[in-house]
Parts: sequence; structure tokens; C-alpha cells
Amino acid sequence: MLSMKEKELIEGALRGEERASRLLFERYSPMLMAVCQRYCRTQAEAEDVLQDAFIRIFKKLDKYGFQGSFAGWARRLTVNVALKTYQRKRYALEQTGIDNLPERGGAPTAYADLGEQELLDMVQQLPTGYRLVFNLYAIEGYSHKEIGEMMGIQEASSRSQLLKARKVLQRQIEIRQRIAI
Amino acid sequence: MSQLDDLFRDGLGARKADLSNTNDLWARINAAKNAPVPTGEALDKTFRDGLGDREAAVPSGMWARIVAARGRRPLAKWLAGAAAVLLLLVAGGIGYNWLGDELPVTDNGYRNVNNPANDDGPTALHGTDNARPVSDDVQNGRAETSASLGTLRGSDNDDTGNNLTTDASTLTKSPAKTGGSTEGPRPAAKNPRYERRPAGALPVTVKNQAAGEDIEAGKVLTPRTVLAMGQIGGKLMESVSFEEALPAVAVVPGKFKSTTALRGLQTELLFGVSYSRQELAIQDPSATELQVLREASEFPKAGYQITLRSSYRFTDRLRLMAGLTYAEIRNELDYDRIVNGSTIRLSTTNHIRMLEAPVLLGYTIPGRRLNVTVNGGPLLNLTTGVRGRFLAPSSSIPLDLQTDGNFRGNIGVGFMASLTTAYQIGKKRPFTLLLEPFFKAYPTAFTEKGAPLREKYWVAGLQLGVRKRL
Repeated sequence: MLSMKEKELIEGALRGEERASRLLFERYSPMLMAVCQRYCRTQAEAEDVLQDAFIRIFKKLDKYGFQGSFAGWARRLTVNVALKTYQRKRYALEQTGIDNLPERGGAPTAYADLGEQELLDMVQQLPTGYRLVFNLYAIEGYSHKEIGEMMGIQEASSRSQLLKARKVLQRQIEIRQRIAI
Repeated sequence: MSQLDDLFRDGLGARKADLSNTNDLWARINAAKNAPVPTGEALDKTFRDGLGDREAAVPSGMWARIVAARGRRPLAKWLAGAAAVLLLLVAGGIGYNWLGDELPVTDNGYRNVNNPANDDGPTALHGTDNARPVSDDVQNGRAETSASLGTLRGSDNDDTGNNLTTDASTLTKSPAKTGGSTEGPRPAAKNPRYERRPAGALPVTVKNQAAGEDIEAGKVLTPRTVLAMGQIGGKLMESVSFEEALPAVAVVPGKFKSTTALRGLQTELLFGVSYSRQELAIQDPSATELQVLREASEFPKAGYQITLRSSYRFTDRLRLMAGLTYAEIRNELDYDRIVNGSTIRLSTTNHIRMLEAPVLLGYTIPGRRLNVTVNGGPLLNLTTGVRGRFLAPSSSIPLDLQTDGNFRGNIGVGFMASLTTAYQIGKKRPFTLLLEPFFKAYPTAFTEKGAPLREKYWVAGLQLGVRKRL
């Protein structure tokens, strides 16, 4: 359920009140920035996606309808913006083979001590397709069927990308552990 | 050298690290040994727990960026609209050209008659009274006009070369209506030679004297006939009024707008290859390394462009051209990448795609079949997009030109100069082959103002194409 203040903020933003829009941004932007960082390779890309996501959130605010959690709605919208951004870039990425770059080693850390930043680094270093599928399945909780529809790929392709993403992440963790020991 | 070795050996050889701050080292080693790397769902859970509800710091200027972006006019939409309008105009021109055969033409309730045979040889124009040939009138001695109206050339003598001869003796006074006509005959005192017919009452047959046969009335005009008609109308006015002449050349009800406005309109479709010269200039001294790196790794590659434009001829020598050009500038990016200890040479292509509207003024040196036109004018950029990568000293991997290249979405106005050599082929349905070397310069940078490197281009190329007259 929305708190009274949250509802007022949304209604204010719907009326075009600058202050309400800003407060809404301040409340949800840290959470959405974290989402963007997971889907993007660099901080600059994440900032661009966050900007586009908020423009879209304010544009579609009237479609929200106060049904369910606003955070969940905004998060889904942000994920969609991130996916669209990468779908636009897909051709260039495939053509230039940027996904085939060698894996970078991170700071030596034992598995038990992996912190947010290490986990984020590992996710960000995943090739784009793996990263999107892993985020959608493992963290957002979408099914392969839903992922296939969202990304315009086969369900089997989603499964395969997830397995490959997991392998890369396991290897990353092993490398870090080995160095740490 | 051995002294140096000794110095370090003595100083560090027997050194023991301070482990006072790493009390948990043994525990960590054990934990790592004992805890296998998670797999499957367990791995997912590790990441979900670590990242699922995470919050991240938002850059301080983000709200200002969003406000600015929300307030910005959607320039791309305007440009897309402008491009669509231009495209529509050009397509309309083409449509009129090729579909024009089916278009009826006249104002004031007239339309024209098809005359597919009027390309060769002199053609006479007859008025007829429905099925009755006008020659009856001549035979009956009612034809009064005898002055020759001379030889009328088609509007496009360099393309068609058709000569239409009107024999004024065949322009006859129409038989008077006996009644029931809404317009009725003209008063004889006002115009003793011709009378205006009700729409549809007097189809004109165009007679090909060379062939000795009448062309069936009631058909619609081909564009060429329309042009010829327009010329005939103009010439007729020298000796008779337009109203008098009109029934003789335009006979069946329809919607004829002035053909003279379209007389000089042509459509051109060109395809060409181009060479693009990239010029990188530093805006900030710290960008010197970036400039050197990019100049050493990026090389020009053949680009191309497709142009669809309309050309309007004001006079035999002066013409105006406008349309749409899709142009692509291409550069090759070469770089080395070390994979598993071995160096791999990688090569990719960068693309700069532009939609442009050239507006060119041309001066033609005319010839019978071959002519040359010198063109020049502004090149309005409607939209620019970029795809590819570039090397930067700050990054170990190539960066994306679209996100990190600081490219502008619109590069404003450029200039284009070209030399069109046109060669006319065919007589009955002539078209013109075009060969056009061109040069395009973009005085404004392709990159944004604050970018460390200013990237500019000039383009030279050769286009081949066809021109078709309306």
C-alpha cells in the first residue's frame, strides 16, 4: 500500500508540481540507480538509462493508477528502458564483438567476503546478453518465457544465456578466491 | 648490477611481513577452502541477496539533467516531420510523373485527350461534334480560321524533341446548338468563329496527319501530351483568345490545372560512393593523446549516399534542385587485442549516418543530348546518428561512439557542390542518365561543443543516376 505522503507526491507530480516530482525522484532514484548499474556496463551508461527511465516514469505516471507498489512499477519501467537501450545497441555490439572481451580479474576476495561492489563488478563485466538475462532471471525473478518475450529471444536462448552467465560468474568467484588465498 | 641485487636481497630477502592486522587470514583461508563456489540457484541467491535491494548514490546533477531533458523540444520529431514532408513532396512528384497518365487535366470542366501518336510528325487538332468529325464543318464551309498557328514545340525540346504542328484550318467553328444547352452558342457578334460548348458536348479528336487517322477522343492525357497542350494553349493566345482556343484543345470535362507549373519539374534518383576525410582537432590540451590514438587507429573507408530529388528548370540554363539524401560516412577502426597472450588484430567499421536535404541551384550549359550543370547550395542536415567505437587512452577497451563520442544529433547546415553531366536516352519515353561528381563540406563539427576532440568531415564522391521528366 502506498503511504499517504507517497500518494500525495504522485498526485502532485501528476498535476505537474515541480517540488513533488523532485521529491519523488529523490525518494526512488537511489533504488533505480542500483537497478540501472546492474543492467549497464559503465556508470555513464547507467546514468543515461536512469535519466531516460525518469523521463518515462513522469510521462507515464497517469498510467500508474495507484495499483500496487509504486516502487515495483517504477522498477519494471526502468528495467524496460534498460532493455530497450541495449536492444538498440545490440547490432553494434554483435558487429564489433565487444562481448568477446577477456574477463577482467577483480580484487582478491574470498567468496564469503564478497560485498555489493564485488558482486556488481562481476555482473557488470558479464557480456551484455548474459548480463540482461541473469539480472532478469536471478535478481528480478522473471521466468524464461517472460524474458524471451521482453528481449525478443527464444525461451531456450534465455536458458542458455543464464547457464553461461552462471559459469562466467562462478569462474570469476573462483579466480578471486584463488588470489585471495 | 650485482651490488644493486645485493642491496635488495639483503634488505628484503629475510623480511617477514607484518600480519598483525590480518588476524582473520587463517579463518578466511579455511572458509574459502571449505566453502565451495555456489552454483545454480545458490549462485543466483548470492547475487539476489547482495544486489536485489541495493541502493546506489545518484550523481548530484541528475535531477537537473532530467528537468532539462523533459523540457527539451523533441527536435528529432520535428526533423522527422520535415523529412516526411520532403519525402512526400518528392514521392508526389514521382507519383505524378508515372501515374500522371491516369490523371485527367483541365480547369473549368475540361479534361484532355490522349494522343499517344503525337510524338512523331506534325499533328492537327480537330474539333468534333461528338461522333461527327469536324471536317464536316470544313466541308460545309463553316470553318473561318485560316491563319497558321505555326509550329509548336513540346515543352521539353531537349528531352522529347517533338514538334506539334497545329493547322488552324482544322480548328473549326462548332455547329450551333439547337437548344437544351445550358451555355448555348456565343453571340455571333462577340465571337463569330468559335462558340463555347457545354462540358462534355464537344470532345476534340487529335488527328495525326502523318498517320492519317483520328485518335479516339475521351481518353486521358499522357504527361507529354499535357505539356504539348499547355504549349499549344500558350501559342493559341497569340492569335485567338484563350477561351476561344480552349475548346479546341481541351474537350472532355475534367480537372485540368495549369500544366505550365509542372513543365520544368523532373525527378532524379542517384546512388553514389564517397570518400570521407576525418579531421580531428583538440579542444583541450589534455586530449592530445586521444587525438594521436584516434588518428593512428581510424582510417577512411568508402561510404555511400542515395539521393532522391526534384529538379525544377526555370530556364534552359537555370534549375533548382531539392530532395532528400541518405549518406553514410564510414571509418575503419584497427586495434590490437591480447587474448591468452597472443595478439589479435581486430578491425571494425564505424558508421556516421545522415539524412540531409540538399537545396542546389544549377547552371546548365545546354546541349542537344548531353548537357552539363554546375550545382551548388546548402545541405540541411535533418538528423545524424553514429555507430561504432573508438580507442581512448583512459580505457582499456574501445569506447562506444554513440555514448562516449560526444556526437551531435544534428550537425546543422553544410555545403554541397557538384557537376552533373546529363545524357538523354530514348525518344518516345525519354529519360536522362546522370553522372555527378560531388563535394560536401560540413563547417560545423560533428561533435558537441564541450567535447575534448572536435571531429569534422568533408566528403567527395561520384553519383550515378537517372532523371525523369514530369
